[in-house]
Amino acid sequence: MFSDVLRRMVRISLVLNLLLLVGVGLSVPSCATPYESAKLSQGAASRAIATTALAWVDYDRQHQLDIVKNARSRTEGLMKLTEYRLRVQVPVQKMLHTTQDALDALDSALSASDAGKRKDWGTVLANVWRAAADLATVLKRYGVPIPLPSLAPLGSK
Amino acid sequence: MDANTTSALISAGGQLLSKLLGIAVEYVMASPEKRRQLLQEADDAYTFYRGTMASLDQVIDQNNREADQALQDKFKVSVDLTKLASGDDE
Repeated sequence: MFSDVLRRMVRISLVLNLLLLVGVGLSVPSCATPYESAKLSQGAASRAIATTALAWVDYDRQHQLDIVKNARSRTEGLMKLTEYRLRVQVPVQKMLHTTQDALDALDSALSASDAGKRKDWGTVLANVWRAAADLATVLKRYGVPIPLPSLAPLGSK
Repeated sequence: MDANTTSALISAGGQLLSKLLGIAVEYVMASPEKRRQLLQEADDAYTFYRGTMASLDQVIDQNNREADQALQDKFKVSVDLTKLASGDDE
């Protein structure tokens, strides 16, 4: 009799523990609010693109100096520098500015107080991802060995 | 199951319960701070980004000038050496 009561208590205790475990799991908010998500995404994109831009200007400098180093004449050097600047430097610089516009638009949307603009978070965030993807494509197309760092929102695994 | 085992199980269950409660409380206490920290990091990353982009065009112009100058210097030296070899030092 006493043993039955104890056994029942153990079962009840285990069930309660299980329920608590599930309850804790469900009550822990697994993700941030929409504003926080957009803000964390903005931070991650800013970090990724700033890192890429810094790596890019280093690459740009070194690549141009290599062209000069390998040039056999002043004319050849000038031609190769001009060709590189038109074919690679200008498109990459343009893409970096496109990502800047997209991130600035996201910042404006995040700072906006009116509800209409707040709804645009998803759209402007999508523009940031698109611009970052285009930047990565341009870098790859021209053989620039700079991978775009992760765009996963800050704090996510 | 004897009384001792049952008692031990109840005790273990109670400890687990209190531990889980502790985790829940810890989460509730720590989470806003962690979130604030992440949001601050996001702000810092954007500020850093703005600073980087503000000087992007100047840095690229500087790279271009440096390469142009390097090209000029490289072939100027070559011309000077040619002049020296031909005895024309002007």
